[in-house]
This record gives sequence, C-alpha cells and structure tokens, in this order.
Amino acid sequence: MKANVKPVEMLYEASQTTLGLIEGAVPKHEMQILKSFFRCMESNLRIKLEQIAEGKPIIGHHFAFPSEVFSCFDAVPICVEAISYLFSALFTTGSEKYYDLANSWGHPYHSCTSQKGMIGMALEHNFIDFDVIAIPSAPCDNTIASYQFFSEHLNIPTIVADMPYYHNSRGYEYYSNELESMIQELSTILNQEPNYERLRQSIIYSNHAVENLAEINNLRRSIPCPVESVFNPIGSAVQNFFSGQVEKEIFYNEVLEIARERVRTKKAWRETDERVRSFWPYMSVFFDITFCEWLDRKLGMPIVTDIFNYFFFGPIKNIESLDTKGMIDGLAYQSMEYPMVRQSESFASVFFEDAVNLAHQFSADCAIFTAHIGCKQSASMIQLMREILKEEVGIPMLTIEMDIGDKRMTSLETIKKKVLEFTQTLL
Amino acid sequence: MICGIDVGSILIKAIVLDEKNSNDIVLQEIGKSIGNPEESVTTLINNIRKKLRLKKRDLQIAFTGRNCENLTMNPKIAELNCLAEGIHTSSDHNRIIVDIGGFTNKIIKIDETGRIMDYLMNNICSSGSGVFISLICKSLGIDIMEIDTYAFKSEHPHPISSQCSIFAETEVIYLMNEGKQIEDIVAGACKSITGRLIPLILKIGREINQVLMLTGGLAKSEFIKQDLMEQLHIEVKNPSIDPIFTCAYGCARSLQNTSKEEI
Amino acid sequence: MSATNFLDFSSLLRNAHLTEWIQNHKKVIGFYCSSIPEEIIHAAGMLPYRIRATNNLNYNLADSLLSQFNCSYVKSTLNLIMEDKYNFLNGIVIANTCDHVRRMYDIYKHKLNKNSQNPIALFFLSLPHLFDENGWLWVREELKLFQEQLSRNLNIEIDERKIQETNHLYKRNQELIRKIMEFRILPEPKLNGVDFLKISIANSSVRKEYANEKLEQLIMYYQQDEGPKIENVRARLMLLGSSIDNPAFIQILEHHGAIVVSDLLCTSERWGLKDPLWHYDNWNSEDPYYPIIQRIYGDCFCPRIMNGHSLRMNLIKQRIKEAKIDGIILQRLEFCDLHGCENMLIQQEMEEINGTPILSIDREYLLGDTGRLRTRVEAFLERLERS
Repeated sequence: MKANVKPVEMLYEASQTTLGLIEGAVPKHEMQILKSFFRCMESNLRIKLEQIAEGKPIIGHHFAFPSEVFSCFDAVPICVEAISYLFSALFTTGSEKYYDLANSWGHPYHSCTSQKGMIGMALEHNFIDFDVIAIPSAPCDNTIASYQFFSEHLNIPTIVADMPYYHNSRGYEYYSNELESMIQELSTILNQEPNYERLRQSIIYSNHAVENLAEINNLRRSIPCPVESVFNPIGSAVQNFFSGQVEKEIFYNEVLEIARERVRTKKAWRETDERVRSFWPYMSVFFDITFCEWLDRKLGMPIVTDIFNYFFFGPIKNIESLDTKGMIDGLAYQSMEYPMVRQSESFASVFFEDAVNLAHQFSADCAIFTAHIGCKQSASMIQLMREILKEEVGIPMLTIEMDIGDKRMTSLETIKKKVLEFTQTLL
Repeated sequence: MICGIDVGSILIKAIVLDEKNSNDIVLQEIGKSIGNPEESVTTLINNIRKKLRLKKRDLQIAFTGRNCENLTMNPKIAELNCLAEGIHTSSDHNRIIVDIGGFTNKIIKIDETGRIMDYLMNNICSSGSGVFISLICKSLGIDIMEIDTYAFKSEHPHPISSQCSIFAETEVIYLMNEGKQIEDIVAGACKSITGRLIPLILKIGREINQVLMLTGGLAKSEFIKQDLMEQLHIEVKNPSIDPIFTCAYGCARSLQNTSKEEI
Repeated sequence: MSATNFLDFSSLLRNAHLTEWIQNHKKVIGFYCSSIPEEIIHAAGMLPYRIRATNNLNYNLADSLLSQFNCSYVKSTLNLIMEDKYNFLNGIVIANTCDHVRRMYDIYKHKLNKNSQNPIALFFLSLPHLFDENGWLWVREELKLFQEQLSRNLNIEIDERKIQETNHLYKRNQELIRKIMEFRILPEPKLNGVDFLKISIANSSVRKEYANEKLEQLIMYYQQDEGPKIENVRARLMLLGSSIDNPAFIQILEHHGAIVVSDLLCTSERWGLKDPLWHYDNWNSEDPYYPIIQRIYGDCFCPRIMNGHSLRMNLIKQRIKEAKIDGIILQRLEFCDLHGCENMLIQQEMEEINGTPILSIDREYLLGDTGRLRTRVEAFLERLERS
C-alpha cells in the first residue's frame, strides 16, 4: 500500500505553483534568493516523492538533528518542524487548522507550533506514514514533550539521541555514542546495513554548504548587505529540510554567487537604501515571508545576521579519509553546536557571547528578538539579552512576543507596527 | 492655532495651543475612538473649529496615537515621540514616563533634551491597562472615576491573580459572589495595574534622581500613584498639564517644532 | 511540641529547625526539583533545602527579568529570591529538569550574583532525558563531579562513609514517608491530601535526622486507635501534573468532601515510591552512589524522561488500584510544556481506554479565582457520584 504523504504532496504542489508565479511575474533580477529556494524545494520534494513512491522508508526527524546520519540508509528523511512551518509560510491559513485540532485534543495552547502542526495533521489522519522517527532530546521542553505523542499515541518507533547539557569533550563524546547507537537502532528497524560511504558523500555536500554559508555571512557583513532579509526564514528551512542533501549545497552556492555579484558591482539591488542594519538574535517571522520584503523595501532595514543562519563550526576536516567514528564524532559536534541548539540547549553564556559577537561583526544598529511562545528557554533570557546588547554593543533591542508559526497570536500588522515604532523612536 | 489629536484605543483627545500666546492651552476636547475613528476625529475637529470660531486654514492639526494609523488625515507623528515631547516641554525633571493607556502601557526613558533613550510596552496582553480596570469597574457596577474613593477605603486589598483581563473580569464576579468587599477588589485591581507597571519600570532601569511622570487615563488615580511610590521608593508625579492630554499636547508641540524647522 | 506542629513548617520559608541551623553557622544549599542529589549535600554536613514559593504574593520583581511565557511557580520562587527571602542560602543546585528551572542558573550567574555583595555558590547537574545504561553511567559521573565541586567550593570533606551513612538516613526517611502514604489510602484515611503535602514540604526543608524523628512521632499519632480518621469520603481523588507546594490548592479540591488520597507529585508522593520506576540491572548495589542514582534518575517520574511514559502510566494505574481512586485531577501550571503534553496523553489514555474520569485544570501559581475552581470540582464530584 502506498504510504500516506499528503502533506509532502501539498507542499510540492505549493512550491511548484509559487515558483511558477514568482518566476513568471517577478522581474528576473528581483527576489533571486526566493526563486533559488523554490527551485531547490521543488526539486527536493519531487525527488522525495519519487523515492517514497518506490517504497523507500520515511524517517521523520527533528530540525536540530544531523540528518546526514540518515544517508547511511536508503530512506527518505523529512523534517517534522519544517513541514509545520512550510505550511504556515506557503498556505493562506497556514497550519492553523492543524494547530486547532491539536489544541482541542489537549495539546497546550502555549506549546510549540513547530510540532503542533504535525500533531494536528496526525489527528486529521492527514499524516506522513513515518517508518521511524529520530530525534535529539534537545533543545527544549517542547521537543521532549511533544514527540511523546508520536511515540506513545501513534506508536511510531522513535529513537532518541540524548544530548547532554555540557558542550565540552565529555558531552561531545557522550552524544557521539548516542548517534552511533541510533544508527544501529535505525539499521534494525529499517532492516538495512548502514552504508558509511553514502554518509561520507552526504557530509561532503554539507561541508560545501558550511563553507558557502561562511562566505555568504562574510559578504553579509558588507554595507549595504548584499543578501535579502528573506534569507533568514528560508535559510532556516534550507538547513532543516535539505540537510545532508545536494539541494543545500546548490542553494548556498546560488546565494553566494548572487551576493558576490552584488558586492563586486556595488549595484543597487533594491529600491530602498539601507538605513538600519538589524540583527535578529533569535528567529524571524515564519508565517509570512513577505514581512522580510517589507523590511527591505519599505524600511530599508535588512536582517544582516541572525542566530539561525550562522554556523559556529567549520566543515568536518579530512572527510575523504576519515573513519566512521571520526565522521560520527564530527556530526555529533556539529549537531550540538547547531544554530539555536548551541544557544538554547545549554548555558545562556554562549547565547549572549554569540549575540554580542554577531552584532559587532555585522555592524548592527539594533536587535529584534522574536519571543516565540513555544520557546520558554529563551523567554527567560530576553531581558538579560537586552541589557547585555545595550551594555556591550550599545544597541537597542526590540522584543516582539508572537507565535512564529501562527499569525493569529500577533498579526503581521502588529509586528510591522512595533518595528516601525521602534525605528521611529530609537533609530 | 496648533492642534494635536491623540487617537487612542478608546478615547480621542485633542488639545489646541495658541502659539502666539506662549503656547497657552485654549481648548481640550475628548471624544470616543471606538467604531469609526475617522468620523469621530472629523466631528471633534468640527466641534473645535466651531467653539473657537476658526477657519480651516487657522488651525494646523497633527495626529498621533494607537489608532491613528488608519486615518486618511495627515500629518501623523509617532506616539512615543509625542509623549516624550509632551513631558519634556511641560516638566523640568529627569524623567521616566509611565503612560497607562487604554490597551497599552508605555514606559519611556528620556534624556534632558527630551530624546527617547529607551522604551518598553506591555505586549500582546491588555492586562494592567485602562481597559482592564474598565472591565472590572463594569463588573462591579461602579464608575471608573470612583476607583480612588473605593481603593483608599480598603484594608485588605484582594489580589487579582489572573494575568488576563478577561479572566480577571470573571474572577471579580466570583469574588463578589463570595462576599468580598468592593473596596478590596478595587484596591486589588489597582495593585494589579501597578504590578504590571513595576516590572516594566525595573526592566528599563532608573538612574539616580529620575522621577516617574505618570500620564494617560489612569494617571489621575492617587491610589495607583501612591502604590507605585511605596513599592518603588521613587517620586511619582503628574505633568503640569492634564495627564490624559499629554500625548496630544506633545503632538501639538511636535507639529510646532516641525513647522519651525520647515520655515 | 505536638507531632502535627511539624506540618506548620510548610507555611514558612524559615522554620524553627532552619533558624537554629543558621544560628549555629551551618550552611544551607537550596535546590530546585526532586532530581537533585541532596544526599551528597547532607553528607557534606549541610542542610539541603528545596526551593519553593511559599507565601509569594506577586511577580513584580521576577517579571522584570522573566517573560509572560514563563512558569508562574518558578517566577514566584525568583520573586522571593529577589525580595531577599532566600538570603539564608549559601549555594544553589540546579539541573536541566525543565526550561524554566534550568534558566534560574543563568539568572543567578548573569544577574543575581553579579548584583549581589554576597554571591552564592552555583552548581549544575546535567541529567539525561532517557532511561538507559549510558544515562545511568553519566549520572554516576555527574554525582562524582558534583561532590568534588561541592568539596572544593565550600571547603568541605565528603567521604564515601559519610555518603553511606546518609543513604541509610534517607532510606529510613523514604520508608517513613511510605508508611504515612499507607495511612492516606485506608478506607477511612487518617490524613487528607493537604496534610500529606504539608508533611512532604516540611520534610524537604529540614535535615533528615530531624525529619525522621518528626515523621516517627507523626506515625505514632496516626497509628493510635483514637487517632484521626476521615469518614464519609465523598470521592477518592488522585492528583497529577505540575509541581505543587501550596496546600491551599489541595484544600480547594478537598473543599466539597473529596480527599486526595494519592498524588504522585514531585513535591510529594514521589519521595515514597515503593518500587523502582526504572532500574539498571548491571550495577553494583554496594556503590554508595547507587541509591542516589536510583532515586534521582531511575525513579524520575517526570515527563522530562522521553522513554518513560509507559512506565509512568503503569505506576499511575497501579496507584489507582492501590488507593481505590474514583477520579483523577490533572493539573498543569500555565506554560509548563512538559506536563501539558503529558497530561494530554494521560487524559486520552485514562479516560478513553481505562475509563477513569478526569478533571483537567490549568492554573497559575497564585491562587485567585478559587470560586471558579471550586465550582468545577463540585461538578466533577457530582459526575463521579453519578457514574
């Protein structure tokens, strides 16, 4: 029997339509990054759907997970959180129907919508037939709590790699062992022997992506910033949905070329001058990516850097000759230092240090903190972040409380109003 | 003449200054903002012109406030800047402005030149703002102007625990059914407002000698003022103008400054 | 002093025993959550004191640091800390037990200690989110490291013999609590849920030598033939969910004649679990750390353990039978994601499959709207009587 992958099919159709629309209606040199993303998305989803149709098993995974690991197997990885949020970005009413279903079933209204969307889809029997789910025990309570719905209520085999709180050699080693055990468990569940050469190839793709993103971020330091703000939300989607896959490399490569060209020619690529360089220490608005265009075009306030699109690690070295343990060690390290995991899962010092460094390096004029209702671990740190950025970088920080995946909590109009007020008042 | 109109979430406040006569306040008018603000503002302007017998060209108007963005009329001036200007031009103190609005509370730190150094507002929830106390007064069947009369009589203010205005309203109904004294409920509700303001004031941080300037609809409540003073050990004052008109006043003054700059 | 005076310790942060302890210049270490190895603190000659929010009245100070999405229980504890009510602490131990609690470490480090003339010693434990061998071994290492840090920072010697002695004391303490739990589930209970919570809270605020003495007196008191008993119980309730340290909440549940005969809360019955929740077989039970690992990790009933849901459900079902439960009160503090999601699963399973009626309550720490809650409980009791 064919696996149910309705949400993936819906996203594929939405990506095709959106791509057709923006390629047909938007002038060639406009919204290049968005176009690149949808080209990659369309291709990635098409291939995934073909593979699923061939009967390959589906692995559901968490966004903060090194999905390169899954390339050991002939399987199709799908990121749970990306599905919820791609729905909220691409469809008029987003994932709202699914959030409501989950809430009415008892999921707390304040729990993270990144998993809630998929919970709602499952309750509507419009789910993805995951053969197995593989996740870390980090970076937040929502990950820990919400995934128990999939394992306990839906009885989907769920493998957890326990991530320790300490990001030191003891912690990395522990987590590497956890990943190794996970591969063995996946091997048993999927009834496949792990193919570590495929893992190597996957890491090679990721290494290129890591290098390219580092260079993109170097270019984002330029004034004016050569990369559209929309890179923020779609960059997050790229990392989560294309991880360990060729589309990640292709996307970053294309963005890099665009950025290089803009810096080289110093050609104005948007109508509005860069007036204010904004740094987003946390996430962006995922439910409406037009917001980023508004920042760029109306306010001249590009997002020059953010925590989600900055890797605080380099490529895994000597990948061509590395043994299996070395590859897994490298992935364990990257996974624990992954954007947002690094800042959310462990002590807050690193969050503050990263924010201060990025704000300095990218010549930020201000910071905007999206206080996502799901992220209780960051909610406790907002005021401290505000004080630290003021003291150490001298920039003001605006906090906007919202649900990044549900426009009904704080509407786009309200968010814009707050940003506008901030620029009119302090900048 | 110069007119500043503050189109708030609940009320529209207008103030007219005679710029030729030391910026004397010649008129203050209030209307309701709910429904169709454009229509309400137009009516208010017509009333002002009628009362002052002014021709259209004799009254320069600027708009500000939470609800002014949907007006077709211009110019518009950012609300926080108006509040800052309103306090700066009506007080000599080193100040932190605490504005208790209909739906929003604003804490604004300004320097000696009136420039905004920092600000904070309550976020998505209207709890602790004007509408919160209105709902509670409605449930208790008392006039909002009477809150001080009741609150000062209270010996045991009953805390309102709900963080949400709507739940707080229900809570009040239960408290009444349980036989709690109205004065204790009102005092508890007022303390709930200061309880929302204090964290914001602490967050923004106070420098030595800074006083709090209380503005907005609830600024006239002596009970709220005293409670803030007691809890924060800080001097709390009202501006020399009617605190509910601070933003409108600042709007008029800002318009005046802009006009001068343009000249 | 009568045996029941011990219960009054729950209504104060500074009880008589603590006051005397401090007067003798002895040290007190505060901790959040039941998953902290207080045995090691005790063995070091200090008083392990579970941080709670007793008598907090508002969030005015805590809200200046936390957001509106934070748990009101943790917020209340912070408010008391900022009001200087916890100035008797020499140190604090925090673990990654939930997102709200773990951030208290960062708040101490980056704010409270920085602004204080007497910064306190901070300790952290990283605890696993899975029951497995790796987790057991990790906790063993954490305990060793914690012991070393404690010794170093506070200049105190802790040897294995002291830990063994403490283990005996703690084992006895758990047995005594278990004995009192038995009085709760009698057909005519000797004590109600309010009093059991008071005992548990008091027990977490004193040295265990003292606690054991008091618990033994209480047991004698409950054992007397003419001792207290509660007749005509309208319904026997089980209370599950987020942490509770305020007996007034249980008082509301018991207001209409129902009795909370079992609770499985981290502040209460979890201390007296009869059987291990999860157990690692290949470990030397002579290891002095063994009973500590078992208590703080193997018996961790909290939904933070990702592969522990079925074990938790089994224990709930077992307690339902033992305590002859008529209905369950599932409560969670607003913004508690762990218990929020766990309650969702418990509700579906218990009500739909097991048939046990459930009342689900969302609450804030500060009790305000008690009338509405009483009405809901009353309606629930009527439902139980009809069924």
